[in-house]
Amino acid sequence: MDAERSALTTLCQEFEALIGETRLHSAARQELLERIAAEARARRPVLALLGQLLNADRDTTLRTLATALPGAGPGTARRETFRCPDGACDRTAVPPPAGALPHCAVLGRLMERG
Amino acid sequence: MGGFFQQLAKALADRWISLLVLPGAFFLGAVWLSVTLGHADAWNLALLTRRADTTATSIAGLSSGAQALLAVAVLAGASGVGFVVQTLAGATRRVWLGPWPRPFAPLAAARTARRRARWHRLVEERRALEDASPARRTREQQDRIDTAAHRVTRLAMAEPGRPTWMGDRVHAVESIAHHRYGLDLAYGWSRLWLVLPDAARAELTAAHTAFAAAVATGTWAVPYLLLTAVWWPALLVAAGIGLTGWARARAAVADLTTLTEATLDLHGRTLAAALGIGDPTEATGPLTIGEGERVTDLVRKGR
Repeated sequence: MDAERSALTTLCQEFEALIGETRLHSAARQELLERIAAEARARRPVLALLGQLLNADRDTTLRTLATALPGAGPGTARRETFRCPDGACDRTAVPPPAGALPHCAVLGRLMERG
Repeated sequence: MGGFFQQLAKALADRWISLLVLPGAFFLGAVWLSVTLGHADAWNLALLTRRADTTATSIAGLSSGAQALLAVAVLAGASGVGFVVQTLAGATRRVWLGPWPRPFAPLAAARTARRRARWHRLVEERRALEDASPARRTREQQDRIDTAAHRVTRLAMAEPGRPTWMGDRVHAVESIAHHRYGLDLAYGWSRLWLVLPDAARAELTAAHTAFAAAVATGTWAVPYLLLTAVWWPALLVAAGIGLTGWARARAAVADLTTLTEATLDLHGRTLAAALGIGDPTEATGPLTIGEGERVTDLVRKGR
């Protein structure tokens, strides 16, 4: 994935959190974010502008964006639920977060996400 | 080629100065300060000024050859202290990441059990909130669930298995690799690293460099801690350095493990394909558990 695509992906994922964070800052920063959004919609490069928003050079911007946008929230929690692999029974299982996937003891197969 | 070696020499010299000589010289200064003041005159500025003047006069009175020798001795001493401290960095890394050495095993086990129990309690709280909310949730209900989920991941990204927060960040990646991709990272990581694209390697290297630098910073707390035997304010210096290193290491290890998990998600299949495992027509998508287990069998070779 190239740098611009990676930056656009993160921007899209964290856009709402970024808007919330930018509201706490100056009008100039809010305008810059609007400009970034306009550039992103027009499918033009946004990495340099994101660097301006975060007060960082291009390399630092990439590294910062590699893990999360600053001020981003916890995201939206998603519960994983698994069901019988062939639908023969009504058992459902919820593994611990990032834990081992549940097995069907009868078939010896992994249960299906659903 | 000459240019390359010049650049390499410059890089090594910069590294030598920033990692060994500068902090070592600061430490030698602190040793002089500690010996000069001692516990009794810990904050005696007048005494310090007098001794500094006397020392400066003595040095100025030396011949230029003796001054040069003194400078070399200080440089050598600073480098020597730096080397010793860098050697201790492995111990700092082990304390922060675990597993702890055998004499501390009971303490590590107790801390791990406490962290695990707390994590499961937080997971139960999240589950209770999810079960209590209908399928279509209000914004407030979802916010409460998100906060509860965040509390879980803030403690550990997967079920804890180490005595420290930083250790659990790394443990979570190993656990996810094993449980979600069937991959044993202890043996699989080096193979995965060799098939990663340059951009991914650059990000991971930058994150690891930040962590190594934080460990080096934190380790400098140890010699300052030893100085407290003769000058107690060194404890404040040691605490400041140790806390700075620890805070930076937490941030760096969070970045490093986030990137490592992302690497597994995105490039696990690249490793399987490089080893000829899986359907060659399916070039994209995450690594399946079956494929990951076959990779593990191949790289562990029965070990």
